Amino acid sequence: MTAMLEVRGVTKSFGGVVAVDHCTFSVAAGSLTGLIGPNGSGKTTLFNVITGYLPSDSGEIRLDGRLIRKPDPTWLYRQGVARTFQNARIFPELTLRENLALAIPAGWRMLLNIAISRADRERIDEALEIFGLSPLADHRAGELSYGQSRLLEFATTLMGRPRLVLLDEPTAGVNPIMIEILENHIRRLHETGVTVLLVEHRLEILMRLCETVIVLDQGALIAEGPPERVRRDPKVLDAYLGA
Amino acid sequence: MSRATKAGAIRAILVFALLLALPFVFTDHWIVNIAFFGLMFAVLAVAWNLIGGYAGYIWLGSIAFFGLGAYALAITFQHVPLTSGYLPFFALIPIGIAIGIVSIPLALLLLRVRAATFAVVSLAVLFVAEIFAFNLDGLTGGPQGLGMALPPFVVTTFERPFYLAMLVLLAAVMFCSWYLAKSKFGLMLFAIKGDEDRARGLGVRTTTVKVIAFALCCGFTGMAGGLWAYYITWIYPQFAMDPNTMFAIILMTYLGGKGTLWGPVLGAFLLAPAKEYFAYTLGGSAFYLIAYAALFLLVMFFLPRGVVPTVADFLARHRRRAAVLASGPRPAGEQVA
Repeated sequence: MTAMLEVRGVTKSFGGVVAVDHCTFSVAAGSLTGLIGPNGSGKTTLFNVITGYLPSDSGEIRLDGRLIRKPDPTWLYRQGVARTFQNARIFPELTLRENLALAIPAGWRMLLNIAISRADRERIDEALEIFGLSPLADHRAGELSYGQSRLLEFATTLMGRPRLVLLDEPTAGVNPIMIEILENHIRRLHETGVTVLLVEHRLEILMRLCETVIVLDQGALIAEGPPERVRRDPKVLDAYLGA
Repeated sequence: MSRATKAGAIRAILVFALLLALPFVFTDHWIVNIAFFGLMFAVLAVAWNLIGGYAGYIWLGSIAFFGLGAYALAITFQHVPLTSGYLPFFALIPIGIAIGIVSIPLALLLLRVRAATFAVVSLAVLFVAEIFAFNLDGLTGGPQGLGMALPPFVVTTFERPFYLAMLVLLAAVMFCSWYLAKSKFGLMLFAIKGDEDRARGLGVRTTTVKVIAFALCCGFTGMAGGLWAYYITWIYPQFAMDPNTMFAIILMTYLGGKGTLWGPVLGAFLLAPAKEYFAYTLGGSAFYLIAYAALFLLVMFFLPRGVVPTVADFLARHRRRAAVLASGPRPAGEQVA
């Protein structure tokens, strides 16, 4: 399988702290890859570097083999790279429909169009239906529970029809029923051919969902491979599982 | 967010019909004069709301563009003969467009920073502009000020053409504000206010959107400045670029409800006459500013989100309660969770 995302020798430091240390790995097109590591191992920093929220100190990132010289979140989204955040980031003052409408890419000429066109409305209603948020469509997003906010953030991310989705701890802070719902959505997303890179603390979810797992420790990659093999890797056991 | 509802259209028509009738019903000079300033502040507040209320950027240099518009009109008519009293009104359109374009490089520079840093840097713009106005004697007349030809209007209804021109400007800026609020562009501005980084991650070209809002704000502000200059006929730097006016605009927007369509207008019509009243009753001392500030503090204490959002929330709650009551009592045995 060809690599959709390639991270080569990426390093990111904050003062004297090396958050990501010469990290190199690739994510195959159409795969569901897990990224794990103890707290502070650099997972979110790596996500931020890949998606252009933080500049790297060195190294390179390639998308479909193409070097991204200066990753920019807006440009990447329009190229089909979308992400979620560790804490659900939605627009609380906007309604659910408006949150989703915002994420539908608009060309220059569409800027002055009405906020939610008829065509957009159909897509939005479909997304709300899939994520079980239809009854709340015209409520402000700030009225949602945390789990519902997670669902909305997830749904929002998909409005740009992404090819690669980076999910940063999507099940953190939500109840078991919601975890199951989110897990099903991730699985369904993957089944539609979208490449997924997933940071997740719940190892059982990762082991169920992922074909490949990458393990970071203190910013460096220490293991990579199928979940079962990674699970038995002594370095991983030492650094992360602690068993 | 603003929506094109029938009720909204009727409300707008009613308000503008009343404002249109005002100078014909109340012909006293002082009333039309205060109403002119009320309209002027409404224009300034609605324009400021585009960047300050919709996008959440506390832009403290807006009044520099008011002064720029004033000087642009005054300087233009030092070189162009005033063949008609109405000519300067039409000259405001190219002046507004030019100021909007001139503001773009500044916007690209300023909008690289956010929040408190943006506010502080933007305040510096105001003071730098004021210093230029004081010191470019050859262009602005410096502290001695700059005069314009006396408008050739009938004395008995002198204020009326200015009032009506300002009303047209208010209609234009409000239409722009309403249209943007209901468009995809407006959605992007609201998203920038909510979480700019997240908006970037959802494909929103935040810089472009902010710069356009900024340029529109500056353009309309400049047009209001030009009209003001023509009305008072003599402009001084300390009045054309007065920090007190800048803060008044922000207070009005907050008072009425920032980020709403009608909030800045309401704030302007509450505070602009109050300012004049306090200035009149409390004399020329700065004591009127204390009364003015006290009024604002009281409103902020009781209505922290501003009048329009608070009233809208109250009405929504009232409607929900009425709907629940109308649906009748709960069946016996039903528990309230």
